Amino acid sequence: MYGYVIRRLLLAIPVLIGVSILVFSIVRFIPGDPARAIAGVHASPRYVEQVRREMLLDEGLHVQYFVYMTNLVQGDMGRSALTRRPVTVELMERFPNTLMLTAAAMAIAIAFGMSAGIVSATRRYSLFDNFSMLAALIGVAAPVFWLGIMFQLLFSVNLGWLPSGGIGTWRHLVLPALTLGLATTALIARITRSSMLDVLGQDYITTARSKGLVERIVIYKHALKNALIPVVTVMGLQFGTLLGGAVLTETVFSWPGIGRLMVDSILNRDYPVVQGAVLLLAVFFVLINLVVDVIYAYLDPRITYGSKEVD
Amino acid sequence: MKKWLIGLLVLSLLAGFVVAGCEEPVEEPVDDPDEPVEEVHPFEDKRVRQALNYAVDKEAIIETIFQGVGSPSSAPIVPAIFGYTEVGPYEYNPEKAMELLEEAGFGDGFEIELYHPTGRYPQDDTVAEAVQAMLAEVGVTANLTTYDWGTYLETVLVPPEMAEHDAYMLGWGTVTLDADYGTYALFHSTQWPTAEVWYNNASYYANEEVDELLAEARVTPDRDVREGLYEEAIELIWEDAPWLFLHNEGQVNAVRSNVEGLIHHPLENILAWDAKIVDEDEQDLIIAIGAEAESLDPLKMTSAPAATVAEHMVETLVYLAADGSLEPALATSWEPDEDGASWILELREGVTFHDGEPFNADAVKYNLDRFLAKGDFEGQDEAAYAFLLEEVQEVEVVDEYTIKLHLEREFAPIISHLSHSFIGMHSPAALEELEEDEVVEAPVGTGAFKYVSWDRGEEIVMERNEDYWGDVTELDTVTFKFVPEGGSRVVMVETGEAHAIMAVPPTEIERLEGEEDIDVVFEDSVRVIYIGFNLQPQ
Repeated sequence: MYGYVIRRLLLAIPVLIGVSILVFSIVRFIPGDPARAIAGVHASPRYVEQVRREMLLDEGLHVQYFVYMTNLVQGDMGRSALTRRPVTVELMERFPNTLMLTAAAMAIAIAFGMSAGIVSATRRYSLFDNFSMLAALIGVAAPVFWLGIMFQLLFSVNLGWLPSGGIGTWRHLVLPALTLGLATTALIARITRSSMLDVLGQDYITTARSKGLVERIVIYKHALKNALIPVVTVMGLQFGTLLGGAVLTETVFSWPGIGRLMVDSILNRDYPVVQGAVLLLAVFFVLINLVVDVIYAYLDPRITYGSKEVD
Repeated sequence: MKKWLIGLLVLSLLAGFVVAGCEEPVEEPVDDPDEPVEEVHPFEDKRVRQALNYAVDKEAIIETIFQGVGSPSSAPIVPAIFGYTEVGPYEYNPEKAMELLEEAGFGDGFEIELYHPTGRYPQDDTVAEAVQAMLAEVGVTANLTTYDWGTYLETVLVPPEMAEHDAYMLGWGTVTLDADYGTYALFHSTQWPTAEVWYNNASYYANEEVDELLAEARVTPDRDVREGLYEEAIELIWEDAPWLFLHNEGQVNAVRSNVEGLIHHPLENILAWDAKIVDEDEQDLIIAIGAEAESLDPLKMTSAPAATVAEHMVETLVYLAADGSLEPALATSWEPDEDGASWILELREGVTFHDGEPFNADAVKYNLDRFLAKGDFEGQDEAAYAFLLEEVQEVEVVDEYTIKLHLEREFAPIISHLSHSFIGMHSPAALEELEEDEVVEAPVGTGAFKYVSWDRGEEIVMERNEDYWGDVTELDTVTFKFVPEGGSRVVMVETGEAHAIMAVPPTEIERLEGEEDIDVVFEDSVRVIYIGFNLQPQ
């Protein structure tokens, strides 16, 4: 197992190099002169030249990439072209906020989504099942932006229970986490339900039942663990999506996260920050995928990552 | 079956080519004597440009798209700017537009390529569509091409031979509140964009009289005389109509009614030093604004949010009041030297920076040299807005509280330019401590408030400066929160999480006006939105 993890981590290096090349070229294919965008409408030609020099835009692409990579392996992502602050500092200020928001949203999604899914599966076609699956459908379909503003109006303006935005106490976290987590909750509920139904129809469940096991043990010990594999896959993918996709929630709730930083940087053509942020998210995505694969092995002993796999 | 089909196809194609080939050299006979024989681009005719100005209903755009916020352009610059003369607006009169087009020989209409940005100015694409619809009413077909802001400027700020558009939408904020910056850069014939330099006279407007007036106004120190010169120039420009003059942007702020004394400045600033909260013991004012300051370093500041925040902590030599007048700040008086090419400024005595360092002529020289990359800063990077002072050749310390600015040539607007919030005076001792490549993050100025903290993406907090040279503010702290979403800002002022918010979205104005404890404040902005005509069509 450890060997597998180390091998996967080593394999991540070429993936990340690939990502760095990809991001590096994509931002440079966006039309528009970044020096001009950074300098602003009113800036003088001399200043635009100055920004162009700072961003090495006069150099060839290979030179730019070489400088970028040389600095990167030394842990230096350069400076934001807009604020002239180190990119690593900008990212480290924001990333923990996004991570916290995403983790909270994920926690909500897992808690509510899985319980709703399990109950729905065991009481198929009951009132609860129909109701929660309808709710899930709405949850998947509701636009985050609209949902966020509705939550603000209800919980902040009308009821006055929770702050409408910003970051600080746990109370600030509730609305954005709910908003961000709702679609995932719905998704997890639906996946859990169908996966559970699938497993519940398997022979070994019938066997377990005919052995006279209590239904609770059949459900939680025999069925759930096996039903979890697709659920965990979705969770892993969703976690990555939420990390990068929190931008709308971050905007509505003025949450100082990395999504907002990234979008602002794209609009400003602030190459160094875009590159840094995408690379950071890519690293996390790779790690999450690894964690998911390791969890598979735990959930289903038939899945092993030993040397046998190579044979 | 298939063979004869292919044969038929080939034959008909051939026939098409033959017919087309025969038709090509045959010119349509000109049967109407009024019809221009030589191909004249409609925009080369002044009457056409005026006609288009009459054809667009500016009032309707403001009412329907901006919920009444803003006003139709009545000059190329807004009323808040020194040198403004009311010469418009062009009223909405499609009949007159049709007449003028008829006179010019374009009664049958014509087609133009209209370029516009999206997401840069409020509702810019909607405005472009409205203009398109209104022009269609007088027979002018405008084909819209939309660009994202990052690529837009390099598409329209090009030399005439590279321009592919007939008209382009742009905005211009005269951030100095002096007509020079709002006219010279946009209408002087030396300001056509070139392949190397993106100057801003993208209409390729050239009028010798206007050129002379604008050039003279630049070097005339007497403000009354200057006003007269701008009046003449603006009348000529208005008549020539190199633009379709659209509207002056407005701004809408909302303030809880227990807050008094906030200044709503036309430069899209909200200023709190005279403010107090009437019924709260704790005087902690919170203002929500839409965008974060990109920097608080004079070298890197480029936006109104940066200016708004900085002005509370860092002062300029001259203060530009909301009514457009220039008031003493860190300089108490200023006057041109006899030759007119240098200005002498007397500085305020007994002022200290927040770190206890004295404010004096050396400090001013240090700051201006750093801003301009001159003197000890020669060879280093200049400020983004260094162009404001590009006429300054040398900053001379005359004595402890007198400074002399040597200009390359006479330049009357220099004092207006010095009032710009980006040219604030920072403690030289604090600037010295910056390492190479480091920028100011915690400004040390002389202002009414002292820097406390800056949480990126979230807020900047400052506290009262007890040792302020002027009236010490009643507020204990001021916090600027960065709330990008307009609807969220509205919620904050409704719940009391913010005492004031900037830029209320037009759709929310009516709702906020209905609330008892919230005042909605309408203020002009300094930006005009226009559609420039390409006067040098290729």
